[in-house]
Amino acid sequence: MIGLIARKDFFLNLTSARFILGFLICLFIIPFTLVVSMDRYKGQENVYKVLNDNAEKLLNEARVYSQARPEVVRKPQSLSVFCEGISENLGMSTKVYLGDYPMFLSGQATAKDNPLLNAFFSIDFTSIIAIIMSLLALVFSYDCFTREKENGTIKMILVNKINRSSFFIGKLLGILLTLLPILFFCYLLGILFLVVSPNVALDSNTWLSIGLLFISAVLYVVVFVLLGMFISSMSRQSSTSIIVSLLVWIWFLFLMPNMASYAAQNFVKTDLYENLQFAVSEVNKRHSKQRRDKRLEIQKQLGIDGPNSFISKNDDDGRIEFYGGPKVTFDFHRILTPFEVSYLLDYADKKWALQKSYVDDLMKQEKTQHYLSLLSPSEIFIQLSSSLCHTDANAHSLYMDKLREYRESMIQYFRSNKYFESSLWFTPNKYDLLCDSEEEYKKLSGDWYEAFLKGKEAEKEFSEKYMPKEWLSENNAYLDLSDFPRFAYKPQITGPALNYAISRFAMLLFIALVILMLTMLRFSGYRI
Amino acid sequence: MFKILFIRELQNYLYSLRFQISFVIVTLVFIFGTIFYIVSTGDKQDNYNKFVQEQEKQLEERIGNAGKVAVSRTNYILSPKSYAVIDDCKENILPNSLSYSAYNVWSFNVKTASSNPYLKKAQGLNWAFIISTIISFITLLFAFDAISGEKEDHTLSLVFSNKVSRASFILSKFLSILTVMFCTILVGVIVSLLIISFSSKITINSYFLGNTLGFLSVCLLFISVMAIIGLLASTLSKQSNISLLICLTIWIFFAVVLPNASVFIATKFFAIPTAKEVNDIIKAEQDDIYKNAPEGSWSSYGGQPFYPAHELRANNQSNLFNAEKKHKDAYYNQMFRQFENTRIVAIFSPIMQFDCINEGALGGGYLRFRKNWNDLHIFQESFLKWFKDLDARDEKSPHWYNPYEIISTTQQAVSLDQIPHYTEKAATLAERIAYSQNYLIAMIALFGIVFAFCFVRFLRYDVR
Repeated sequence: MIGLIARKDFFLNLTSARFILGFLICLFIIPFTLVVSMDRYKGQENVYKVLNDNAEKLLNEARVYSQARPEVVRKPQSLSVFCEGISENLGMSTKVYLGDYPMFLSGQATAKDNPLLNAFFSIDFTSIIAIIMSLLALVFSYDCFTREKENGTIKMILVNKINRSSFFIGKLLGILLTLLPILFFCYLLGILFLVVSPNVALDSNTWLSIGLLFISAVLYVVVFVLLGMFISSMSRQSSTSIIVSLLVWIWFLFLMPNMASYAAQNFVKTDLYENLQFAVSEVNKRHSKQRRDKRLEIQKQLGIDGPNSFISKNDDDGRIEFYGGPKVTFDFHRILTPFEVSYLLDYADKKWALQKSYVDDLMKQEKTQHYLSLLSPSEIFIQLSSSLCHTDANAHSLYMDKLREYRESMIQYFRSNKYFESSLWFTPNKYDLLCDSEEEYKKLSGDWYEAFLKGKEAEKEFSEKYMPKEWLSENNAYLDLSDFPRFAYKPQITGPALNYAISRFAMLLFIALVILMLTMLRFSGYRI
Repeated sequence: MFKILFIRELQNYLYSLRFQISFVIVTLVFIFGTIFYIVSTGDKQDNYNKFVQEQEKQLEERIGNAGKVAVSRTNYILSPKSYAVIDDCKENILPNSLSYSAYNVWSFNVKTASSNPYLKKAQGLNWAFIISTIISFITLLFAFDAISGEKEDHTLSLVFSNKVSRASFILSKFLSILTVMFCTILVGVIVSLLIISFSSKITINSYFLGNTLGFLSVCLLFISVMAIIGLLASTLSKQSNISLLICLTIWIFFAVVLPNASVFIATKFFAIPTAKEVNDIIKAEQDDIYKNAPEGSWSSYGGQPFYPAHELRANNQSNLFNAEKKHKDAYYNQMFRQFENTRIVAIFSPIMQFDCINEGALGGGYLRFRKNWNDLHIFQESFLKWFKDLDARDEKSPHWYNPYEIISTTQQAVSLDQIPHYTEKAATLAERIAYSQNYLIAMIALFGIVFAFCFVRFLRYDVR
């Protein structure tokens, strides 16, 4: 009997104008969305390739360990084609420093370079599914009881030997039979886009995610169909039930998400990022003062005005790289390096205390928004999808945690190999290659300068004759960094991410069951 | 006759369930939105003030040396404005930080974490959002069965068998929807204004009230457009559920598809070179300058401004600077054009037209950004002139201007109040009208076309 009712409703729906129109909408909008998402993903993929090659090249061109600072580039998630999440809001790469904890991914986020385009919102597959499928679900279910009430057919049916629950389930199945093929078609199209594109490798984990994505979408559609049926069972006229359904729809889909986000950003306070930067720069000032004092102290101890060298390259993150010069420069750096490193690490901790509380505030806003938006099933569905696609805030914050752990492992690498104490930290030159005394070096460099003023030829001749060739940086080999720790974190749906997905799934299921119960109760209590 | 019809329609709507639910929803959202806004507006202003103070402090550290004042780059950040409760004009996701020195206006940016990067981009619950998303939708819900419903009930033929002109019938429908929706908005706005005046976080002055009135008149036009679109859908079909589907499709297209397709449209149809390409061109040109620089262009001598090579160095740096500036400025103009061209697509969606008109009416958003960008260029010229005057009076300076360094220009101390200070000017009425007039004309034209179409269609309707 259930099958009969379902079949009748299914065919009735199939020939209706709403089915044709709904299907047409899906047929136009979904491929368009996928083209847009795919385009964006490809752009990200290109940027990633360029950045990553550059980063690898840069790291491998280090001649001293103080220069070796890896740049980590986040690989774009292939599943972001389905759900973009917040991946557009953040950059893709960050350099891992000794003197700073990685805080945000920065740099270029996508192929779009125009900051003005940031003002436009962008489309993604999951939100379109959330909007259109829920609308279709309501449009198909709003009149499933009211129409029969209005036509009086419900009396006819119920006077026969049909129990009410099988009538109800038949109706539900009839609507689902109409909608699920559309949904399946949409997801199939999405998967096709992924499979066809050349640079996406679909491993088992990705397939698992896609499977779960589809199942959650089915559950989501069920929730809205049940909601429509519930509203239909509550009202006498179709015209009332459609209006109520649509107002519920706009509340869940458009009002709740914006309201949650707006409330979270206004109730949980955060400072301006610029003000955080001012506080951080105060710490930096203290740092450079301590550093300067230490340098002066060591200079005094060694009786020099400053570390002279033929070539030197420095930066704020403890890079000290020099070639050629007197032996005393070598001694100077050997004494200084342990202090420099410990200051860098100390002040990084101090800065991180400030930065962490800022990031925590941002995350607190995110949490608030998160909990507030649990009031809307569509938001639960979107949260679930973005967590399955690893594009939600949790995935990003986990990624940053892993990056900070990676920084520790890099420090550990330097420590355990004793590179902080090694001369390879600051120069590849051997001690013997350097001038014995400051005077000797000054004379040599003075002579070189005279030759330099005479022209390129004279300078070249002079340096070949009187200076070790290692005094020029390009004559030194690059470091062998094959054992340098690499950042290899790949997000997977296990552990907390899986628990999270399951909890959201359970919530949707719970909502579906509650509405189901209420509708059944209401319908079985209906008096003809 | 018209009066009777109008009053009857009005009563119909006012007693209907859809009005009651919508009224409650809209009023609630107005209340929530206003409360959320006033909770944080004070903090936002405090944070901004703290920022300005810190910046002042940094400037004070530099006043010992006028060269440093001229060369160092300052970020001008757009302040929070009280019209955000009406419409925030997306100022937190539009560029809101401009970097300048005496020599150049360097760049513009969306400041880091200007809107929380861990949250999905969302619209604030300001009045404009409520109107453009919710009211537009509800208006369609009111209008979709105005005529098709009567066709279904066969009351339409009954009405026409009396002495009722079709024009007054459709006008009464239209005006009653307009009245109901506008009253809903008006109640929401008044409630919101009451909450604001009780909280005393924003001073409601004549300027603010003027903005409110301007906003309300734009609203009136906007809901007329939405109402007439709904009526058109209603005249197009005989069944109300078909006209509903037409309305929903139109709304999704206007509110979801078209606004969200903008980035795609921009990158596909109005593509501009990537930042990398532009940087490569600049780098190539700068490399050329490096190569052709006369010998000694790089040497410098601290503490000796008159060291002869400083002149070469200043020339060289200026050449490098000009090469960068030329290409960067051209690139920024391309960016502006790309954004403006993409916005032309907005002409097709009344919801986007509404946003753009509001931006103009309030003088916020892109209009504000561009005004600041242009004004900052004018300011920068006067800033440079001030520095050059100062430099000309200093005998210890060789007057070799160098946009990056302080070595060959005046290094005398200046006092804080001597230094020119950039202050933002609100857009004038003429600028606002110029900005929004195209969108306004487009909206009125859209209204006219749809109205004419709807009217003709209805007049030709065959009762049989």
